[in-house]
Amino acid sequence: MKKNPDKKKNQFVMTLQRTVENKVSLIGLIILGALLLMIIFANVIAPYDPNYMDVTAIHGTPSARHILGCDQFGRDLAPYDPNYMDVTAIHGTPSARHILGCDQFGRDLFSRILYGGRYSLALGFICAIIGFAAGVIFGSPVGYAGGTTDMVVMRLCDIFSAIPGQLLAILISSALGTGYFYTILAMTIGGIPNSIRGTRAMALKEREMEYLEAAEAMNVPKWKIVYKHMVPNIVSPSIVGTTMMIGNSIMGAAGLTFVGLGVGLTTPEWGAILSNSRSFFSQYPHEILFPGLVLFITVLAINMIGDGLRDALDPKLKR
Amino acid sequence: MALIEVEHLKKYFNVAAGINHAVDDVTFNIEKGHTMGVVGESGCGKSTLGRTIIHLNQATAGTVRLNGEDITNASGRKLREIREKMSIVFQDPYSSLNPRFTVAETIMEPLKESHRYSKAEIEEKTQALMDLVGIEKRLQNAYPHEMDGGRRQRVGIARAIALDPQFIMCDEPVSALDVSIQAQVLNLLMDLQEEKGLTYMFVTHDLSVVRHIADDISVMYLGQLVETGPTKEIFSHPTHPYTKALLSAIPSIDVLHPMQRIQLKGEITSAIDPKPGCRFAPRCPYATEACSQPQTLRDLGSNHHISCCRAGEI
Amino acid sequence: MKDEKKTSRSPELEGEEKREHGKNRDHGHDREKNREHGRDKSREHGWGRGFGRRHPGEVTGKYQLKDPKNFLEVQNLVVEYSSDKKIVQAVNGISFSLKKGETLGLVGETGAGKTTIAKAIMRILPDPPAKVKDGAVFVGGRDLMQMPEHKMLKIRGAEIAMIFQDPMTALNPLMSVGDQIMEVVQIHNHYTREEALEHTCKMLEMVGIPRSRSVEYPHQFSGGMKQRVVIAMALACNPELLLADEPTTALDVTIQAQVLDMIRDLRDRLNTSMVLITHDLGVVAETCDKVVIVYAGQAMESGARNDIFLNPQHPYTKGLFGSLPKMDDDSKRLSPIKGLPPDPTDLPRGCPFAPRCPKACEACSQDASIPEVEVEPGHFVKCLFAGKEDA
Repeated sequence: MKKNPDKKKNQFVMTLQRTVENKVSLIGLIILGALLLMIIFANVIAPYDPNYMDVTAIHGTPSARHILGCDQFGRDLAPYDPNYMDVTAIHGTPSARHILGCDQFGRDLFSRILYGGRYSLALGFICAIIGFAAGVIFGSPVGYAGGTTDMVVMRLCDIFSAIPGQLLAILISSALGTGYFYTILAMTIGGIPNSIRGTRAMALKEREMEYLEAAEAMNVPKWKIVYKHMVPNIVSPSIVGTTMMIGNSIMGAAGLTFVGLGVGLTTPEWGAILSNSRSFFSQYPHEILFPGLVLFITVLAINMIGDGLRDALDPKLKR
Repeated sequence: MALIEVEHLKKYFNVAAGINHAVDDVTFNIEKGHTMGVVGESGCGKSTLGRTIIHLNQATAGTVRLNGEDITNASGRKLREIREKMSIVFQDPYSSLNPRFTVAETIMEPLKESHRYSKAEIEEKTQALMDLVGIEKRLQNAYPHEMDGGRRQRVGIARAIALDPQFIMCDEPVSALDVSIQAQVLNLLMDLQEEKGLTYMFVTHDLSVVRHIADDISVMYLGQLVETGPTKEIFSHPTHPYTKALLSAIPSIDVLHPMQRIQLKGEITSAIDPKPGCRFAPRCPYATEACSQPQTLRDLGSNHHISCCRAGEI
Repeated sequence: MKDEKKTSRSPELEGEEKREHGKNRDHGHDREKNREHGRDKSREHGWGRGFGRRHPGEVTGKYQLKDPKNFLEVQNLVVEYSSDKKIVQAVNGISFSLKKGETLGLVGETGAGKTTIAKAIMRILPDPPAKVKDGAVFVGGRDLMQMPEHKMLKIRGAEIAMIFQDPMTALNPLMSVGDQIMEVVQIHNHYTREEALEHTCKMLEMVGIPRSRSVEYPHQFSGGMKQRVVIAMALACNPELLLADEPTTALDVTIQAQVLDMIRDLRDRLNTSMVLITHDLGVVAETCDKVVIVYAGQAMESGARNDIFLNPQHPYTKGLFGSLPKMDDDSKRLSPIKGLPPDPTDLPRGCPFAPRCPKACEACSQDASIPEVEVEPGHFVKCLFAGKEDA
């Protein structure tokens, strides 16, 4: 109840502390951290240039380097170039050489997943952050203002929502072209109306609170009332939604890749790996199982962190 | 001289069922350094009246004057100026403080927004304000949920007096508090009034509180002012049938002399698209034909006004 | 009669040993004898009235009914809430009793444990986190704390009913008020639909709502009317004990006056015993026969209404009256109780009021348990200074 008067704790540090104190979110953080490290260091000193295709290497017998490399941290974590095709190991099941097996071109799945994580996770985070930011920036003033503004913006959102998200993404992608940037754009635009709607609903509820009226009576400018007073009090519930958006965006991007749009087939993005493996999954289930598992674990970890973060951001739950 | 003059003030709201005449033609003055108690039951428009006076609501019609200056349609810089002269203390000490602001941040906010003080001055003033309202220094970094209702209300009061306003509208400031804490806060408000020469408008449904703190009383019923006058006069000679009923309805702790209660029939209706005439008439034991005519505020002398056409007869 | 009334009080005991022997009574009446007397009587007549069956708990329980005339007898009730780390001591050994047709006012501030007491009597405390640690609640001679749950189902709503503070949330918005009352009626009585409907309409008329409104939904009623519906529902099975938890706090004064008048009238007509929980001393003064002043889950002072209001003895009771703005007193400053109610997770040793008490001395915080003193017949004060000096 009582606090040390001479120490005003940093909100960010406090939030982090409280997130870590929560066991569930701590586990999530550890998983995600490990994953990120692996992904980041996957290519630090990769054995091959990502675009390098050595014909002799395809037929080359596996060397001890590959196997030992798996055990070392970082440097040789990804034992193979993601696009390197090991013809001897086409559809190969997990072995000491290819710990997660290979796909139909003999490409090492483990390496592809690690490299792919860079694209997929970044895409998921960027999409979620854009969606979250758009929701907060546009949704909260709309909810606070209410009335005509609210009605107009909501109808606009309705129009967007009338088109199925995936279809909209395909439309945008095919209009603008493929590539990483356009994929992010395509994935984000579909999510923004929902995000705005969510934040606006929270703002609508919060606007009845008297502290906002108090701020108005104290001459606090409207934009400050919205962004300084109201927003910190309404974002916590959106955090969980945002973490869900990460998974959704990764899956959505995978869908785009599947129909031939999106990032492009050569990029070892998780969606691409999954949609590629889909055609073989009855004979070679490991090809879809491992990338699927990694995606599942990632999304789970992010959601665990999100839950903890939401609680940590709530000052009322402080001891 | 009257600090606040309210003339024929109206505030209507458009609601789904029609137009809510929340405040309908209210006229009264609040003398400098006095406390005007505004009493009435829920939905009588007493809060809306207060909020319209301090410009949190835009008046539909009528005038509000502060120090003789018409502020009804103030905007821009003028509005900022008058808002520094008038402030508000809210009923609910839970929702009126931002849960993410510490005590010091909450009290500092009006000082910062006035852009008149340096950082050091703000710090210093915040400390002084906390002392003044009786918040311990160790609580300056506490968040609202870490404190009890009484302390929270003290923070709200500190925030309200931060810029040395002339007028404070107190919207049921003690009704959410327990009796023992309520007395502490009432004492604080009265001490501050004495020290700073504040003028209060004290909105409440609790007549014993209003009798204790107010110099003058206005009784409202469904958006209309039914009776106004000095506290003593109202309590000793309530004239409007509604005031009489309201006074008799207060549960008294005097077990030896139980009060004879005037039982009102029916319940408060609403001020949505009301019929002309006295809005209390449907529940009034003395209502006649004449009550359906529009009523005017009549002077009974010694500043006692009443809006009842049968005032002399009953 | 007077003697029996005294013995109906249970001392506030802390130690298990003391509790079993019941020997730390401080007012030196012939306690043991009275106890015997009370118990014998309860055996002879206690269960006969209105309750056909006798529950084993009555005899085997640690507690015995002290006075068979008491319809409700709460003895040394202790309730705790436990959250992950802390234990909230909500009710700390409170005892009171009530005769048929009487009204008892439980007065106290927020967090004093009033609602917990009522819920413990009804046995509707959420467990976890709440736990009745000790004590007995005798209703009509049976200890409800020893009652199996399936028997409680028959008692709740039928013999004991509760009115909650907020009429807005106590009614199901999707059911007409008539259906809601009828549901209660049909659970406890073997009525046909027509009979139940007729009974429902009668109940509504009794609380001043025309029977034509029974088909309407809660949102069509105003706050006061909703509280009338809630009261009609509570009274639908003609309960012998009504627990009213701040029944008028959410209402406006004029409506409160109407509802209180109605509650009083119904109580007199139906001879219902009532426990009225409130923080409003005015409501108590107008409604109750007996008063218990609750602080930190303990009874600081209890007695007949006039004793408490005309001759308050405990410093806390005096403080409550001093905090009240008086209608007939023009003095400008109130004399509030300083400080704050104690933290129920960390109650002070000895008298919980001592840290705020103007008269407190060292002894107040040292005694593990402050004894109850009977300053006049039926008027108990839990204070070391009680009866010793006048202040």
